[in-house]
Amino acid sequence: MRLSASTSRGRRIAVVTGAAGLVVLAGLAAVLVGPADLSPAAVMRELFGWVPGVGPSGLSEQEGVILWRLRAPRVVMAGIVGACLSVSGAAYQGAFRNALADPYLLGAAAGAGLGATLVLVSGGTGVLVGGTPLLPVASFVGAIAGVGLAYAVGGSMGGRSRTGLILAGVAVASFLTAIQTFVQQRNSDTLREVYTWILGRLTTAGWSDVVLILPYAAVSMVALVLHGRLLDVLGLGDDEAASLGIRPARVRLAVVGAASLATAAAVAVAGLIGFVGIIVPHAVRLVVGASNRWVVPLSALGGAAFLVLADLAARTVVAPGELPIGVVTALLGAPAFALLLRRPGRMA
Amino acid sequence: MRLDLEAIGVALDGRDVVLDVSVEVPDGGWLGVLGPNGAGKSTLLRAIAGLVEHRGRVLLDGRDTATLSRKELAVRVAVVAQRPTVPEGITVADYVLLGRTPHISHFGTGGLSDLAVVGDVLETLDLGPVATRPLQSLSGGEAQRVFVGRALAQEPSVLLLDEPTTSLDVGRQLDVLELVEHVRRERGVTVVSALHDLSLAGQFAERLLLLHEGVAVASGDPGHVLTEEIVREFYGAEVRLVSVDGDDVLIPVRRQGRRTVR
Repeated sequence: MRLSASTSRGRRIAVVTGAAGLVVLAGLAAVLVGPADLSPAAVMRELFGWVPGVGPSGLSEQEGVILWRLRAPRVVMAGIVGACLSVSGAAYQGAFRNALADPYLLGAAAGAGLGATLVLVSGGTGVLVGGTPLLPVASFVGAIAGVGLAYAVGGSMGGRSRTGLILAGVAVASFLTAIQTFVQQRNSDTLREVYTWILGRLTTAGWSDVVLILPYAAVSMVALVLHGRLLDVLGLGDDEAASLGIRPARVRLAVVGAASLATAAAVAVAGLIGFVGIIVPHAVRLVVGASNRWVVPLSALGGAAFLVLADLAARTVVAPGELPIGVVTALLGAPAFALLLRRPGRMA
Repeated sequence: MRLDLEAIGVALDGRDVVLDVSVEVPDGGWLGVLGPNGAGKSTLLRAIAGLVEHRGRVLLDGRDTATLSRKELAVRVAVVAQRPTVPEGITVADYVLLGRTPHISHFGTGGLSDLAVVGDVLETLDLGPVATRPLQSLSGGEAQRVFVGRALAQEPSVLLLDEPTTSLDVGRQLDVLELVEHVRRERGVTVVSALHDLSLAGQFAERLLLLHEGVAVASGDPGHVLTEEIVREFYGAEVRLVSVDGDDVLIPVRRQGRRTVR
């Protein structure tokens, strides 16, 4: 018989195209709206000035700065962070065969939180050699260290089985959170800054932050998309995956490593933004099915669009004030998460 | 492909689960592995598949599998687990396609030839009509056919089946074993299966190996292994051997006869 896979492949390609279109539309909407009252038509002319036949935008120099130095990097940053968190979530869910796994499962959040808190209580304005700000670097290193510690502990406990790793992640996260809480309590004058960081924010994003995380985001996302089919094989369980000729522990290490890199990159510039890593991959699965060959790349697109729109909501709902983006994603994400919990059979 | 086991031993947590098992299976043969629960049947199959560390040697056409990579071994030996894990939401065709894994490069996604093999397997197993359905929605017998299908998509020379008839009704049990027999004859695949049902084992397997506490206590053709004495000794059960159309069939007998209820 001939497989009808071609039709489902055609449908999936249509979905990918649609998701890419959604990212572009969300990005456009986000650069058009903001507290400064830029004319949408002028912004569009400014954006598409390279197209022959489009006249001068008519934006003033100051308005141009607002568009290119404030809005555009923030939108791009939101897209990258959303893509990183969603792809990592999809990867973690595949690697641990657990529908409720999120990018923070193995201690990335707790590690990053500790790193950020340490910097914030010690002044928070430190700069490394070369002008790189200290806060994102400390968060990044903390996230990687958290996951690394969980891996080391898990390996010594249960031979890197997925349950052993998850339990190690729980232990490491609790431990690091305890230290973070201790440090925070000892330095109550910086409570507000730490709290703001934990809720997640994209407000300070400039192009330098984008440049800082783009290499990590790109490398890890490419690696995870390449691992899509292997994640499907891991879905059979380690034993059966091994009988198909792959080395489950090795594949899981590569996937968790790449996903943690992406998570650390996102956490470094945006703090802890919850739920994106869970609800986006699940929404994607409802549309294209369970195969990680499609879930992983589509989560990148879906996550980018979702976080760009969430950030748009964060800065417009209570304008001229701003909601923390973590609050917006949780307000949207928590009910969706509860619905997933209510569906029997969703928990692997 | 000819399969030789030489003094296979497996220790789990310091306890010997399989001890010094040697047996040979000719190319295209069918070895049935018998034994009470916990006798080491599954562990022996896992050792053959290289899924558990073992002593002794497993030879495929004379070549020690220890010299093969994981992938090279998976191209030759396919396993149907006793209770395969079914990923949530996976379709029958996608599940069978996973069997192509050892033939696809590490980061590859498989090509038209892989889809052709899957299509061929689905047709052989009469699974075409359910190809796009979620595997979880199938009945036990259909699902078992799909599990065998994934193994066949591996195009193995040796097929290992761990109690493939567990939890199936008697009709579906026969279906699955007839299917395995069909595949064995059509494709010349060497089959090793752990089997629970002694009578079915005697009718399908060419040779039987009886394990008891990890030790091979009897092996040979079914008439040699399936005797009332052996079953009594190693299963602690009374059976009667009855000949049906030339095949020996075992019938369990109640120990104390029928009691009348007052």
